[in-house]
Amino acid sequence: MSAISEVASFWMEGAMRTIDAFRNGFGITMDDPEPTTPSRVIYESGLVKLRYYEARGTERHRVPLLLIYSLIKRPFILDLQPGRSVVEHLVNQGFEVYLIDWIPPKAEDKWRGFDAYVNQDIANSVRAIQIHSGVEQISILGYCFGALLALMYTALHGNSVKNLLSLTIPLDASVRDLPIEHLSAAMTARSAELIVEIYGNAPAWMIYSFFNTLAPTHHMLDKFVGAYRSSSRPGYVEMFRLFERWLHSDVPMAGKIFLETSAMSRDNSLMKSELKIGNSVVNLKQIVAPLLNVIGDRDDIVNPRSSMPLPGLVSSADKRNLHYPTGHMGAAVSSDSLKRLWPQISTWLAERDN
Amino acid sequence: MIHGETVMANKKLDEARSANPNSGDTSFSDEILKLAQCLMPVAPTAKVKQVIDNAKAESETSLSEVAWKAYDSVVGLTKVTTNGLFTNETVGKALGTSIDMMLRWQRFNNAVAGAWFNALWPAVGLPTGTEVAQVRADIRGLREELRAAVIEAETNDDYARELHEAVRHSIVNGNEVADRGPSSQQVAVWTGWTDPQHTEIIANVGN
Repeated sequence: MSAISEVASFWMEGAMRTIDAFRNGFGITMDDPEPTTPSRVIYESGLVKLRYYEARGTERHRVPLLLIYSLIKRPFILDLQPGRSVVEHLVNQGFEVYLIDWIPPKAEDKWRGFDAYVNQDIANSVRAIQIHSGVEQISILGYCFGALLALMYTALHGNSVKNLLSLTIPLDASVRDLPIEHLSAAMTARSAELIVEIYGNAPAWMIYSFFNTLAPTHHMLDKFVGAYRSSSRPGYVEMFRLFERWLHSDVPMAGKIFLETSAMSRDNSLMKSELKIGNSVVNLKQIVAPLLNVIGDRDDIVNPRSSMPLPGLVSSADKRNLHYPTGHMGAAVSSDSLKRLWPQISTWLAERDN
Repeated sequence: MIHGETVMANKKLDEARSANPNSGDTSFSDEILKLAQCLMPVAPTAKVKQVIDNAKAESETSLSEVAWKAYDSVVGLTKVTTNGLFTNETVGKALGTSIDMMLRWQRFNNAVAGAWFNALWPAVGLPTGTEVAQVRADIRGLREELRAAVIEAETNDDYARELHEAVRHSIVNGNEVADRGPSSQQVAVWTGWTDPQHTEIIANVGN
């Protein structure tokens, strides 16, 4: 009886969280939890707030690192809790870290496409980092959709990039194994156009529902049962609640970039180096910076096989895939990843600091 | 080198997939078998003997374990079924068609509701959506003016003002951004930064 009432309590809390999110517009309010690592906003323009996290310790690295997170959720997942924070880890390793904190698009931002995000927002942020740090070439780490943006930026503005790291990049859209890939393929060009025609931007509730539809049993029941079963583990419930908060932090996707992403996925144009942004074609062969492509082997959101071809498509002499047995978000929040994966990433970066 | 790594990675991937409950690689029959094992872990006669022999607390623990195993199997079965549905081509096509139909219906509803309320609001003396949007745009413009004024006031020492201008100049007039077109004429807004050690690097700006 106790098990049932406790699971019901977790379930009720989750239901209230979802209702609140639908009512308040998910992550639009940018009502993030208290950050683990102190930061300050050093630059703001377009839909970017650029956060700066100062390096700690005596051994500080010269090349600053820019983190680019996905557009559809809030980036606080990268700085979740002490001991479970990618940003904290990097700062403790002596890296000057900058994070692009995307400002959710409003109705009047529906014109924003790859050109606005890559050639304006990211380009302006890199320029601000160059001035702030006094270093001309910086390292860029992109996560999921952010990795796609980082890749596009590096192909178009390679002179500014010292090292490129991509985490769980959904590159090859021709791979169709996972449910998410089939569900995405079910959306036609006309459906995407209708969404933009009706709503202007792709609404946050729609993005949330899309991901929840993929695992209905998990989101309706199993995760709450899991929370009950693991509730005796120290800190688990707190972590579960933070993670749930992040799961409900979806933000809308600007209309134009939603259409462009949809078309890119159908044509697989980035993979084929045929994607056009502004007046330029994104040719991946123009990337010469050292590349580390991190792949979560248990990722059920981004198919590992979709990320794997990247090193073969760029011209960098120093490039490789780094496989790690983790899921899509496990790469950022699991204590195992922070103990074993991130030290490998920071070592790779430190070795390429000069 | 890359090819070799990829082949190795494929092997690792297959191992990882077999351990991943969400990968969709477990079969329906595997899950049914697991469920059957949970529901009937031992032969009925042996089970009766076991219940008689064991203490009450012990049997409760074992019952709880069996219940959790059964739960896991049911959940696993549901996951396999859902994954199977999404990866089925016919279901995918039906889903695509239904999304399209729902969106068309939504657009029709919006058009009808828009026409109805556009006629209704002026009749009862309320502003239309366009008028509200116009007011919002005006307020936004005022906010931006206010923000610029606040920044101006906050960066009134010579050093910060000079730096702010350097960033504006660099971003708006830099070589890389010169051909962006009219939509990109966003003036950089500098929201902080008063550390004097960065003064000397202004001249090195650029790619």
